[in-house]
Order: sequence, then structure tokens, then C-alpha cells
Amino acid sequence: MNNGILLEVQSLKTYFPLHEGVVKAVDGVDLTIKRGSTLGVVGESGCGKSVTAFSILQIVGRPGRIMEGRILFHRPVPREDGLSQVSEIIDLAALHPRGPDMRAIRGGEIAMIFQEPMTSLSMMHTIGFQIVEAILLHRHIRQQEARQKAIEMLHRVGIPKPEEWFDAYPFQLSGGMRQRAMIAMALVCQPSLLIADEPTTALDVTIQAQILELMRELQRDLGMAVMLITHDLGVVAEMCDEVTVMYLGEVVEYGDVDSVFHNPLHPYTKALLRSIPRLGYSKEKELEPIEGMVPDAFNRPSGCPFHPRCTVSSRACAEAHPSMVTMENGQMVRCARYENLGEPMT
Amino acid sequence: MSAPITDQNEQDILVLNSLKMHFPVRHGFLGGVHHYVRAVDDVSLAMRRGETLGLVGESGCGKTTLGRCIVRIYQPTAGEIFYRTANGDRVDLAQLDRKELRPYRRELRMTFQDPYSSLCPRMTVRDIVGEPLRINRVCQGRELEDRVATLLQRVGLRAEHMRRYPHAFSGGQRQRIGIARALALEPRLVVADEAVSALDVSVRAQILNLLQGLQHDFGLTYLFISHDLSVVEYIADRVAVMYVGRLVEVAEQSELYYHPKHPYTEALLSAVPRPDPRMRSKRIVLHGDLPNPGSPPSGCYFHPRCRYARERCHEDTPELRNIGNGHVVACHFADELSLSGVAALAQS
Repeated sequence: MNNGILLEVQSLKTYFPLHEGVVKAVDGVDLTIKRGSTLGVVGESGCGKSVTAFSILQIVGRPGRIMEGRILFHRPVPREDGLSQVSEIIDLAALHPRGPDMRAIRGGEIAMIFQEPMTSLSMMHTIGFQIVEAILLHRHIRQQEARQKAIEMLHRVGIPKPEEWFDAYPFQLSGGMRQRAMIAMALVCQPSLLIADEPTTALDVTIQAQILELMRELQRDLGMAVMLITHDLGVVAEMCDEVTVMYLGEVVEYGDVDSVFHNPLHPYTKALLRSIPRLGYSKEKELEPIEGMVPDAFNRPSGCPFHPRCTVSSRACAEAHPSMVTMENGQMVRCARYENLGEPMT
Repeated sequence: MSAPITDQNEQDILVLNSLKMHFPVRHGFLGGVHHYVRAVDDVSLAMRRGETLGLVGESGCGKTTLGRCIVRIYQPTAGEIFYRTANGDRVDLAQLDRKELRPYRRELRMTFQDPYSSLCPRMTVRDIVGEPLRINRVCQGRELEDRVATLLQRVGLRAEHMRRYPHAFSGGQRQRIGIARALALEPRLVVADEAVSALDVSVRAQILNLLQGLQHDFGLTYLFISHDLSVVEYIADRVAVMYVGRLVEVAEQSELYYHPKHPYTEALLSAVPRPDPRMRSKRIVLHGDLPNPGSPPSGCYFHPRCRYARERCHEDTPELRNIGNGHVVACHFADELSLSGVAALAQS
């Protein structure tokens, strides 16, 4: 069961119709998340990585709307005999965003943690109250039991003296502690998938190390899958099993971490890896920046979205939209010229 | 008091001597001073002409405050800021008042962290970049426009961008405008505060390379403030590490990264995630949070989080001392500890 599929996103399109035009934030994204594994979703701001996550949970802000595509959640159904598990497949995209089915899954079976814990926790309520609220929404247990569970969870995420912090308000906690509290809230119902949207971007390096360590530990113990959204390639390399690279609302490359970091196929992935300073190598190599900038959302380039910044693009790239090519090892790339790009990186 | 590390070197463009910046915290109706936050506490540091000094530390460690003291946005509480002018005179910027500071404000400039809030949304790029020229009566009219156009081209923008407002630019372009503004008066020293932190990964390298090119062309000295150790390794010649308002280690870049002598530097280096799945390093995870600079721990400020801390660290505050090769460190046991730098961490 461990290598089974937990979530499949198929040609998802989420658009934002605005006065100035339609923003195609997510434009035909395919993703697969395996049970118990960690999928990294990398890309720069505006590439649609967060909107993909919001679409999975059906919390896309207005006027955004899922236009097309399926989000298949393989929900485990415990059988009476307790021996084998079967899954039922639910298309989340077809559910009503505020209907009972979606609400049972959101926060219960798929939970999410956000970048800025200060703005995503309620400042009017104690962290204990907020965690208990999450439990009572999904489990039919008594208030007192829920409180006990919440304190256990706070202890589990490394908050010292959880009984005392239970009644604290978010502003009384430091950034790292707040992120721990949010992780506790997300994991208290033992979800099978945790979506973490830039969970450590707002934190200092030493605190980031603590939180990443904690997430890895909890994942091992609770056996959940993680979808880790980040722009930091270092975090991806340390945490993930598979990576999806996104650019302008599309997946441009997918593969296991080792292949993507050591044998990237897409020019964008290659350029990204060459443009970041690396600890221990910095003075030897000149950084090669990616020229130009991410195009704005209303003027998407024709053909391959990366072609105006690509160093190896041909005239065909400006016209035809490339399709996804799958390699023997399962790595996928959306580039018409990947075969002519020469040597793998070291 | 840490010993001044100044030997009146001709090469030093800036020497800080026991610099302190304490902010009062007021309480109650009458606004009596409750206590002081020691944002910068007893910092002594020398910057050589033409070098890039990286200043690293976590949020709240006082690195931005230190930068702001140097360009005299703040009046430091105590200490000296010796600046060597182009003709070799030494002036203590900390002692000068507003009027006396004016000529030096042209020579020490700062670029700011957030490219969104540091440019006035109601001014055109011409006004933003030209403002320092106008205020200092360097030029006006046609000549000013020409100067602004040249500056914009030098930072990789186009002259016709002059008539636009900041909202029309991306983060990277705004950072370039901020850099053009800092360069307008041909400064000698630039304090670059988190110059690339707010930018997308693919744009960071562009700005870093731009800063290096400008340094080469204009002979600039940079104080490069950043929390990102991989960026600092790339751009800095020497690196200073700050923790809760104090310097804990200063050394040549490769010396500091490969042979750190302070446990905090070691932990910082090990905490940086490496963009290589084959190098999942064994991290040294520091426990606990950063101390509050309003009520720092006793003795060595780092001792509650330090894995090598001993009895002495609880009481005795270590002073910065030179251990050879211009490597200074504030740790009692710097000679005994064998700490791992980036190379050793990569292997594990």
C-alpha cells in the first residue's frame, strides 16, 4: 500500500477572470502524489504552485475558479476485517467547495500549513482553542478529550510546557513556535496528505532547520504524504522524494530528486540550478543568471512559455506548445529540444 | 569592552570602535524608560577600501541597525565611526551633527531591503533617482535627465523608463532603481541591506552580478547585509557574523566557511539546506529560539543554545580576540574546539 497513489491531479486549470483579462494561474497541471512520500513543487512567484494547492483543497479565492480537470483523491476505506484496505476514488474538483464531503476532507484527510503563521492563525483565539476546534470538526469526541489530544499534539511538535502554551495567543509565540502550533493544528486529525506552502520561508535558518527536522520526523511517525511548495531548491533537495518544477502555470519537469538535480532535462530547471549560489562552491563558479524576468500574467508568451528567456529556443518554440515527454526512468519534461541540449550537469 | 581592533591602517575606509545602539523601551503613562534593547552592543570592526564585507546573522541580531548607524540614519548611543575620506582625512561620523554630516552623506549610501516600500509610489523614476542630485545641487534640468539616463543604463534599465512610476516595475527592476539612486552621487561606500532577499531565485543572480560589476567599475566598498549564507559566500571577501547585537566572528570568507571557530557560525553553516540531494547533511539543529535583545542571557549570549557550552560560558562574556590571520572570534574555547566547516559538513 505504501507505494500506492494518494492523489492525482489531471490537467487542472484554475483561472482568474479579471477586468484586465483572464489570468491563467494554473493551466493544465498534472501531479501525482504517492502515499507516504514527499513531493516538492518548485517555481518562482506567480508560477501557480500555491493556486494548485488551493485548488486541491477548493479554497481558491474569488474570482478564481477551477475551469477544468480532475483531482482524484484515493481515500482509504478501512474494511471491517481490518486486514486489507481498499480505496475509493473521489474527484475533489467535482465536489461543492462548501459541501459536507469537501469539508470532511479539508482539514481532516488533507491538511495545509501556510507560509506566514501570524496571518493564518486567528489572533482573536488561543492556539488551544483553534486546535480543539479543528479536532471537534472532524472527530466526535468530548471537549475534554479534545483538549487532551491538543496538548499531546503540542507536546509532539516540540512546544515545551504545552499545558501553559495551550491558553496563549499567537502574538505571544515566536515565529518558530507559531509554525509549530500550526503544524500541530494541521496534524491533529492525522491527515493522509499535508500540503505545506512555503512552511519555512518566513523563518531564520536555524529555526528553519528545526521545523524541517520536525516535519521529517512527524512524516516518518504518522506515515503521511507531504506536498511541499517552495522556491528554495535547497529545501527541496533535503526533504523531497520527487520534484515537480512549475513555470507560468505549467509543469515543465517532473522526476525523482536525484534525477532532477543531477540530470535536469528542461532548460528552465538547468538555468535555475546554475543561477543559485551554492555553499562551498561559490568562488569557483560564476553565477549564470536567467535573463529577463517572469512575464506578467496577462501577456503569456505564445508556444512554450519559457521560450523568451530560453538560451536554446528555436523558432518552433515560439509557435508550438510542447507536450510532455516521459523518459525511461519516469522523468518527464515539457520541452521540444531537450534531446539537443547536451551534457548532464554534475 | 572588546579591544579596539584598529591599527590605523591606511587601507581601512571605515573603522567602528565599540559602537553601541541602544533603543529605550518606554512604559506607562509618563513614558519612563523601562529598559534598553541593545540592538548593537559594543561592535568593533574595520572595513578595507574596495572590499565586500558580508554581515550575516538571524533576524533581530542588529545587522540592519548596524548598517543604519554607519550611514547615520541613527545616532549611535556610544562609540566611534571613523571614516577615511578620499584625501586621507579621518573623521568620526558619530560625533557630527546634521549639517556637518552633509558632505559625507554623499559618500556613504544605502540600498534597502524591500524594493516595494523603499520607492515612493508617487514619484517617477526620474524624480527618485534624480532626487539626491537635485538636493545636493549637483545638476538640474536637461543635465539631470542625462545623468539619470546614464545611471539607469548602467544598472540595466532603459532611459525611457525614467517617466514611469515604480508600480510599473518588477521586484528585480525596482531593486535596480534603488541601486541607481544609491549610486547617483558617486559614493565610496554602499551599505546593501538584504539586496536580493525579496527577489525571485532566477533574478537574484542578475542583481548579484550587477553589484559586482559596479564595484569593479567604481571602486566601491560594500557592506553586504544578508541572512543568506550562500549568497554571502558568493559575493563577500570577508564575513562578519552577528548574534544578539554582538559580533561573534570575523574572518576572510573562505577561512570562515571552511574553518569556523565559533559554534554559532558552525551551526549556521550546517543549517543551510544544500541544493543537492546527494549531500543531505547531518544538520546541527540548535534548540530554542533567538534570545530577546532586551534581556539577553548572562555570560556568552549563545550559551543556552550552544552544544559545547561549559560552566565558564554561563558567567563570563567572551571578548572578540584575534587568533591570527585576521580571524577574530568571541568564544572562550575557540582554540580547543574543532568545528566543521562547509567541506566537512558536505561529506557527512
